[in-house]
Amino acid sequence: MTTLHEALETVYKSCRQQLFTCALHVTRCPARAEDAIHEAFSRLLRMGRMPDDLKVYVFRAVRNAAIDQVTRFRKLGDVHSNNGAVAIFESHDGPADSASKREFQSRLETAIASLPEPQRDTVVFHLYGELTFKEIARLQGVPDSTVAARYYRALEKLRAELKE
Amino acid sequence: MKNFEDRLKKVSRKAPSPQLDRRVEELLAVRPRRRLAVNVWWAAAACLLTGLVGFTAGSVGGRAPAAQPATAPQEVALQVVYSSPGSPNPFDLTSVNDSATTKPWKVITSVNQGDTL
Repeated sequence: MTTLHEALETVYKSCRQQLFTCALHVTRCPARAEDAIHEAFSRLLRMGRMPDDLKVYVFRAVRNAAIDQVTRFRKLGDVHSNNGAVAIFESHDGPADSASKREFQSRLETAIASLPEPQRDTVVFHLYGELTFKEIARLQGVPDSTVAARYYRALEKLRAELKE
Repeated sequence: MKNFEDRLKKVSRKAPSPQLDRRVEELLAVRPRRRLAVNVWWAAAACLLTGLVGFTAGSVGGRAPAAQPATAPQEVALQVVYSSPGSPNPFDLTSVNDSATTKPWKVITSVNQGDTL
């Protein structure tokens, strides 16, 4: 029988990047995103029991821990600006990046930032957190159809913004 | 739409540092000891059953519970050994030994003349 430790290890190894992206989307600071993931796993281990859908549970715990991080540092007056800017993409000033790639990424960041928050979260969770609509629905506590509608509406807006 | 989605997915994301892996690994390395999971109702039933068996066995075969009077010890109750601190000779091994006994009540004091150097 798989223990909670083993199951969490499996989820971490398979979703490490996605968890980090989701946490970074909330905190906008890599160090705090990592702290949030550590805190979430610590809380899950203290809980000591295996939830029904562990993957969604872990993502929810990470998101909650990330929100806690933001709240904690906002109280201290030390928070990264929450102006809707997208913080999840790699900085695009490397010599290997072509100009067109850099330009596309910059426009994409602006386009995602201009989306309403529920649509922005849905796009980030689905495209970059690699969660299914069903998993996002469980995470956000809304019906699957709402998630799908938000996603496709957001994708249409992005396509129009990026003139695809 | 599918091509557009694929293009969006290709944009590289920031990656977590190896430090995060180390921190999570450390966290997961502390394994709790496996404990036998016992249903609380089974545990309660076992307690009840044991109590019933004990009570039945005690009332059928055993003597009825009775108070046991506490008795004083019969042999030596007290023994005090005095050395001889007043002696000017530090090697005087003379000692006094007090013993008290009960039944019969008696205090015996004996002086043991020790060797002196």
